[in-house]
Amino acid sequence: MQEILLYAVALPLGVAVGVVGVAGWLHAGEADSSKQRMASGDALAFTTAYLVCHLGLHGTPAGTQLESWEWLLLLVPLAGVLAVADAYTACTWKVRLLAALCFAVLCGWLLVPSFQESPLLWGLGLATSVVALVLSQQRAVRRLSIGPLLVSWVLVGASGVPVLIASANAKFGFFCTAVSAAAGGAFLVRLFPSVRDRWKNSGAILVTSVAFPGILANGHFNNYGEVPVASFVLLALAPLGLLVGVFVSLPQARTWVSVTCGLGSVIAVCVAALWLSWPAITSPAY
Amino acid sequence: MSNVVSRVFVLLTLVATVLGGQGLVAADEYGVDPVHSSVVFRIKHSSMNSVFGMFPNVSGKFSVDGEGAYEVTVGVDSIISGNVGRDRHLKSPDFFSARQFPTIVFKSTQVKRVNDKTLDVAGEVTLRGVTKPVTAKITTATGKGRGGEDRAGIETALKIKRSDFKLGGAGGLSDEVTVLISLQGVKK
Repeated sequence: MQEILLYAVALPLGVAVGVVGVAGWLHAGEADSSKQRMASGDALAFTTAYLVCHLGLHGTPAGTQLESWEWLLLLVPLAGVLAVADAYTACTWKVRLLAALCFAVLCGWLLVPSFQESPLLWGLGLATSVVALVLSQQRAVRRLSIGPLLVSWVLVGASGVPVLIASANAKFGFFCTAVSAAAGGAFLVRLFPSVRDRWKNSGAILVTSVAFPGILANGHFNNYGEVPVASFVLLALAPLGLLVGVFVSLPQARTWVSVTCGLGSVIAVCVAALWLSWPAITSPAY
Repeated sequence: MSNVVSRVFVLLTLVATVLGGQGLVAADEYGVDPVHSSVVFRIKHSSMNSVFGMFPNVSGKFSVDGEGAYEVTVGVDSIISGNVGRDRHLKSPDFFSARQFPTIVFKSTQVKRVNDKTLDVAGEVTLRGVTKPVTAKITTATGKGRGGEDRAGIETALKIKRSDFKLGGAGGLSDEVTVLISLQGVKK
């Protein structure tokens, strides 16, 4: 239990607070144009938090044949690198889009195991999810700012834990906890007045867009409980609910209305996912 | 007369071929009879007592003459530990990852006779995609089945470390697992 609390909660939270805090401090005196660079601190924080948990609880792959979820050890850092590169280079939107599409296809290919039925369909679904989540969350963060985004990640990660444990995949639940803890840490840093206004983006969007769907999809592929597939899909796509807040754009609408609608949608989706898997979650453990 | 001689010669040739041909067949090879075989594991829980489980799905071949090879395959999905929830957890990627790695395989690399009833067998076990060397002291016995067929039995106990194969974390379980293997086979 101590090992789980350390690698799934304490270290990811501490890493996120440290890295995001340092990134904010390093760029505190710079112009607003550096906000993108500050946001890259999120990418590093979430990547490191996930790696700390994955390596701490599972270690490096032992055999020559990697399991599909073990590819997250490559894909999550790659997402972080792409996010940092995006922040520090002046690429055109076409180059960024191409890179994002290639990355999504890579995720769809690597994260689906060979034993899964209809692997092509699942791969396409995963790739599409990654793209949809990246585009929607980038839209949401511009309209709603980063706070609701971070809260949505905390909610998705926290909801994923009981669902994944019910599917007999406790380790995947702890991976979700680590991402959730990183989001919580990033949110805590944002409460400091000196950095509050500077967080208008998050480099962690790409990281969470591959981490959550990748972990949840593999929870379904290795589902030994009675958890319906809908629970995994709903949780993986829950951050799309923030778009509801984006589209509630009455001319005189206050931001809190949009934020409430957006977060409310995310909460509703998470509750639905938990409700569908409630019989499995509440079945007696051993 | 020459016809009789030639026929006797042919007959003797045939007899010699049959008797000599028997020497070309493997000395003894027994196919595992899963009904009378058991692969059981024992692990310490919370340093208090041991929990047991077994794999009923076992197949393969072995020999007892000290010259044949051993190849035993266990079906991971057949695991039984007396608790459905625990069985599911054991099959998941937290432990055996049964869907990705559906079998545990042991193959011998060297067999050495110690005495009439004991063999030293060295080999490799492949579990969850990881192959590790293992040695076992095997006791052997032979007999007849109810239908008069030749049968043999082997028994051994191995110790493996869960950490070598990424089989779960700590969680109150000891790293060392004792595997008791008791196989009965029918001569091929």
